[in-house]
Amino acid sequence: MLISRRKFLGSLGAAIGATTTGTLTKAYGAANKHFKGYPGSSGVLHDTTLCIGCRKCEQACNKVNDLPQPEKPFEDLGVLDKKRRTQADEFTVVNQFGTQEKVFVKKQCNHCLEPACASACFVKAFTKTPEGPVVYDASLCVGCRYCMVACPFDIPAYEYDKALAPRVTKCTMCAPRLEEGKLPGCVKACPREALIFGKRDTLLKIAKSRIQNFPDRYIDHVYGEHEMGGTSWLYLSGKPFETIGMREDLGTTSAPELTSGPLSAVPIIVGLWPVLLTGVYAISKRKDKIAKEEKEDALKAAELQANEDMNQKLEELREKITKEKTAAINFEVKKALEEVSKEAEAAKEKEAETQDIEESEEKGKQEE
Amino acid sequence: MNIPITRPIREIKEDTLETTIFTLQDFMTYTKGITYIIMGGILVFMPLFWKFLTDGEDD
Amino acid sequence: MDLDNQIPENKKFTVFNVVTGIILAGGLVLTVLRFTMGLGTVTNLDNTNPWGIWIGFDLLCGVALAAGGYVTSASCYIFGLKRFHLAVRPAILTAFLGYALVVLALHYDVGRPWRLPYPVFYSQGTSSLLFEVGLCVFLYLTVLLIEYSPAAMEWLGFKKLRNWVVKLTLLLTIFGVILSTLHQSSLGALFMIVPSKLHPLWYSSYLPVYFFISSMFAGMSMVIFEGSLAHRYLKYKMDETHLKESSGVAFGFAKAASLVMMGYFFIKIIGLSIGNNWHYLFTSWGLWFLLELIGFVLFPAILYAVGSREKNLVLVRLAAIWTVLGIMLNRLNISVVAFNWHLPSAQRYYPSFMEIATSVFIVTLGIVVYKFIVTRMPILHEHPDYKAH
Repeated sequence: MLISRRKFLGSLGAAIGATTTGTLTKAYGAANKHFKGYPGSSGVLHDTTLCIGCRKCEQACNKVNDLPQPEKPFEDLGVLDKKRRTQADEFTVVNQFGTQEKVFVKKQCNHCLEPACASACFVKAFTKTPEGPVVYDASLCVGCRYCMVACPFDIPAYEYDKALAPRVTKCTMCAPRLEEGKLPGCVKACPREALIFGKRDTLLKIAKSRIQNFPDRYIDHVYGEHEMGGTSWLYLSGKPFETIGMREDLGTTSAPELTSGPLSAVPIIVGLWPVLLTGVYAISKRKDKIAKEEKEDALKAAELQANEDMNQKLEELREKITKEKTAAINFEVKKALEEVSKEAEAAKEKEAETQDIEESEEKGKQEE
Repeated sequence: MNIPITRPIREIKEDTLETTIFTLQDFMTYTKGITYIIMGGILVFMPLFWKFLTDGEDD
Repeated sequence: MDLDNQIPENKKFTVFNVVTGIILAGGLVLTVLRFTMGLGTVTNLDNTNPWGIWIGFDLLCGVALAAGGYVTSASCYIFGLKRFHLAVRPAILTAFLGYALVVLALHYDVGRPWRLPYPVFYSQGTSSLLFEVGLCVFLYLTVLLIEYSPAAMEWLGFKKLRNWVVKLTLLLTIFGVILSTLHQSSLGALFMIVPSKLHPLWYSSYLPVYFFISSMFAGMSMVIFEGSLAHRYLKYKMDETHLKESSGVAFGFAKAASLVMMGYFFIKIIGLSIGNNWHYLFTSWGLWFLLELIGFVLFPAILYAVGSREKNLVLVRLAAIWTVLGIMLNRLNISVVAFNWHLPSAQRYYPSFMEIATSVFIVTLGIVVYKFIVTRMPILHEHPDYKAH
């Protein structure tokens, strides 16, 4: 069932199918998309007041996960003098705090209800299983180590010495053993019941009833109930958690909640940017067009103006020419007329002269 | 220590695990997966729509 | 005048050639070491400090400083500021090379580099912001390759294909801006998941906005900076338009960068106020934060403003270098310096010599490829067959 569901989520194509067939659309828990995790999933309660720092859990973990033998044997409790963290070949470590009254705390993956590693992984190599464990699939892992950056508990480790196929390693809550119906290695090995395995809901009640029954023995807080959205591993302590190496400033906001804001901004940008950018482009293009048109209009107007000026000038010229012509003609006509009249006068005078002569000739004839 | 057996808010039916999302993490993976496909669709559609919108306009 | 393939006869053993030769040879040795001995041998990374300068410098600074591509092409083709046209090709080329080198650097950093296509093609972790970054970088690298390709096609003489690709310019530019907005901001959002590890002065719900806005002036400053380098060393490759108008590009971007940086300065202050982180200012972390904000944002913003007002190219170029250094400081602060700030110094990360050398090798590789392309293809001048687009 688990596998079929994983495959189901495995491809984006299937996701479309899911919406159309109506599966995977209901959210479990209260309304308003508040998720409460898988019902009836398992976890471990670590009562640090019961831990004696024997490192039997470390040994069992090493054995069931087929990890290489450490340099110093697990019986060597001198290892506890130094604060340790999980490593590629150590899925769990026990640390010792306090000098007079020693407190021992086991550290391993807390199997968050909303795992930061799974939220951060860009190939879905981490899965929160319905049974409780957060498991890792090395066949998908690219080795980007963002899971290690994201983990608020500094749990995942990396095989830095492997050149070509390094894996991220961490506690699996013995998921393979759980499937066989066995207890996690560390829980089985614990001689003091400082670790108990069970349903998380039940463990939470046990933890709270212990606090209620022994208020002097415990701090009134179950670490892991709400830290980073809650973890499958729960812790009880007699000392403030900050003093036994567990951060109290992590808050209760789960990793997927921390990233949901930017994640939902992404699609909005894809939705709006094409509109905005094409809009800006259209505006700048239109401005260019208008500027071009205005330029053309101005040019045309100038041309028109020039034409008109020219026409006017032509007209003037024509008028002037006509005037000049008329004047010239008139002048010529006048000149001609004058000439004609002059000639006429001259002719008259001549005529008169001839007449005179004729008259005198006639007179002379008559006198003869 | 006696832990009384309590009843859950709701009965968990057989098929509930397959049809229900229980974690915000799965919810994000699932919804963002679909949203990414929609985003791809938008990026293909919008240029074509712009072409349709401005088709016939002189440049 | 054909400026293509005019490579001046040089002596083989110039200072440039000898130095780059040594660095590239050293890089090859480091490459062999990385892929035979593993990250543990080459780097100072450990389980508590999984990301070093290969992410902080090569990825974060690389992507931010390659923003010149989308800024310049958007200014020219979307906002219609035609005077930036001559800066588009050099900016697109540097962006393309920048992103290609980012992807190359990731091959050194991730455990199984041959699986880098997995998030896009095989198993999509859609809840991760790194998925968003990966998808966008993959798509944008493709867009940049297509945007750059006309230069290569003009060089090779593929006229028809070149003219067809040029028709896609606007579409590619818009895609480029969308993809850049997304992954530039998502790189900042990568750190939203670690409020418990990143110092409160740098952790903010505005991280994605900060990264996106700062990428704008990072890109502009890189365009100015590269322009000044090209003017000094590649002047013989420039045509008249370039020689005449490139100072106009510098002043244009100086003015824009100055304005954006002022805005960035104030949204950083708003972030301080929203997070109520004032009291951290009086710690040593606060001094470091103020050095970054006042010394490397406000100060260069004013330098830019004065340089732009007085048309002082020297001042503008100085401001550009200062801004680029400021961007590097900011990205390294977030990914390395202020990350895991709560841990004792013994558990903190300091880059190893080999890590730094690998980063230097990758940057050098970029410079060599840039020089190869610029001396052969029409980047700093127009190809004579395709004048005046």
